[in-house]
Amino acid sequence: MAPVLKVEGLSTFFDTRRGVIRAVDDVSLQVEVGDTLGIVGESGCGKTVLSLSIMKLVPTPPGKYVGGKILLGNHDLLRLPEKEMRKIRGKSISMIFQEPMTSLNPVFRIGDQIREALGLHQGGTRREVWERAVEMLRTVGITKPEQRMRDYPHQLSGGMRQRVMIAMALSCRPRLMIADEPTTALDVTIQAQILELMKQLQRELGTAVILITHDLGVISQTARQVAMMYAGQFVEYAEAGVIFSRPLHPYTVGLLESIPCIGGKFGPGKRLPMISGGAPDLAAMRSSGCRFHERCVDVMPVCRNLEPPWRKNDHPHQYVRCWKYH
Amino acid sequence: MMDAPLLSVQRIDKSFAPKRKLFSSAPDACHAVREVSFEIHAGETLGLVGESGCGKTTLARMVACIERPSSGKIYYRGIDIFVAKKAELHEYRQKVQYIFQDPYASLNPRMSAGDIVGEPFRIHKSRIDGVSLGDLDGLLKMVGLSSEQKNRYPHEFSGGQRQRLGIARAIALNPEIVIADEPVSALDVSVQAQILNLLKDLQDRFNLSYLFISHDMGVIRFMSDRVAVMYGGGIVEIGPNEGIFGNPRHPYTRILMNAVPSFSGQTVKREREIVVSLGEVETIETGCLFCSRCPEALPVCWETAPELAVVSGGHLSACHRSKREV
Repeated sequence: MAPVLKVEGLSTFFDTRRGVIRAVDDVSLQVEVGDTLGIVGESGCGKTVLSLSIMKLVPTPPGKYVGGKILLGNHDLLRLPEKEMRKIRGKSISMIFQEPMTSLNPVFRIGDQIREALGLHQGGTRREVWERAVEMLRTVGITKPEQRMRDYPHQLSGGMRQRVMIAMALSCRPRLMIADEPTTALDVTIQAQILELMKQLQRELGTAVILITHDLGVISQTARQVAMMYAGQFVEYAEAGVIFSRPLHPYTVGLLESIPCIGGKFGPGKRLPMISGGAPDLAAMRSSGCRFHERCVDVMPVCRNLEPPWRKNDHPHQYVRCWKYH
Repeated sequence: MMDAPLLSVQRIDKSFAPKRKLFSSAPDACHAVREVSFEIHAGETLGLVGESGCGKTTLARMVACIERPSSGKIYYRGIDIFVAKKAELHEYRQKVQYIFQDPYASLNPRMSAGDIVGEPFRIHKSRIDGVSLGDLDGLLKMVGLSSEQKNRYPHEFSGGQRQRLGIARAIALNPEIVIADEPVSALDVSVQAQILNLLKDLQDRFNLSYLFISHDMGVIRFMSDRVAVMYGGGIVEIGPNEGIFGNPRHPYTRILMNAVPSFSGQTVKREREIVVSLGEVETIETGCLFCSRCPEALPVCWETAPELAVVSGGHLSACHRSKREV
């Protein structure tokens, strides 16, 4: 199957007074039709810069795309002029953000906001666009969509706002949807509903999804492949089943162990295994050595001096960036 | 087992009367906490779990004596704190401390770390001998910070380190009860484990009691000796950790658990479907607060509100069904 999106060796750096920040460094990924790729990482690891890079929304300067390719079909988005890029955003690639209140405009009715994208990309008479917008709201499970079209964002609950965001994102039937922490601000019961809705729409429309989150539980419920991101790099990349049952990178292993869960063996009176230290400061980082070595339990002398290259394992397919496996 | 409880909360109730706007009739009061009772014993952790808006924080604020209840009483070592004398209240405020959710908003950006942690000593100086610098250093070390960091300001610390500062401030006066209001929800997963372990270490060392608030069932499972589940301002189920997680009796507790995406075990599909089909929250005048969303509601649920009733030793559930099954 031809991939919807193929990213090869993408690097996005920022020039700052404290030096060059390598926010996204040599990232490659691939998503197929109807596929879900989960990207997991902690705050500041470059998840959001990666998604903004794919949309080409990183402000330049201070950001710059240093290298790599972003292939959507036959187009390399990095070479596309801004005018062409505007036709792709919202139409071929759309995005859902974490905080539905700040990403909806508070002074416009939600109906007008959905119609804006539809009208721009697909055209049609006012009547047609209105009806398509109502239909979209109904698809995402909003009751009485005709009335809701006239509501302002503050009149909706958090879950409903996120449904509206999904309606907007899917209204032009994009080939790829990037969801950046779509359920982080929501309660668990609402989260379950939104994730189920995204899955169902994805099946119906065949949209490929890149799901960015820090919640490994959410990833395991939805993603087919998973990429673990640490300090601007992918450190492990494999199918979800493989990564959860047989994680290779010490960061993935540590992270999976450190999460308290309902059925887990760690109750009162126990201690959780934990990764020591905190995420590194990308600006202060030296260029040599593995980015995880200061927190790693299996650190070897080579880890301090040389950055480990990507290594591919066959059977099952699993990429890992760690000297242990060389 | 029990000696007299350290803290006894008896049927506290809180309504907020909204301001009457010009030209509009008086709106309904917001009933935030409904007749909640519980006890906390020395050295014990009571976990409080529920979705946003269920009244967890209002309850905690009343326990901390920041807010006065509309009715009901809170006894600390037999003293009613809302009619206590000034000196008694002063002591209470020293023995009950608060850790806040957001480590970014709860530290004064213009005070150095040393000033923040030392402030409780200054406020309560009439009762405690002046703090020597050695104590401050010891306190910082206890929470995993170094004494050189004393002169730094909050913005120079990471999220996890800021939460450590908040914890140091809370334990500075040697309290008996610490109210931790979502202390890890703003933190990254790998840091979350560190903070949870730290809280447990401190509890063992000083025989602290925690009122531990979280929306994360996994964290509650790991931290709590006893668990109270809140919905719509009331406690719907309360009991020992193993009872709540091993044999949840209230439908809401079961739904909450099934809504949590897990990567260790597979959730039963049918259970997930129930979560996905949950209705919107409705205000219920009479009857059980949860009945409009409850998959197992009986006719009686719409008529009378169920009282908390014992289902097994120390395990109480407010549900007409769980009463029947006894």
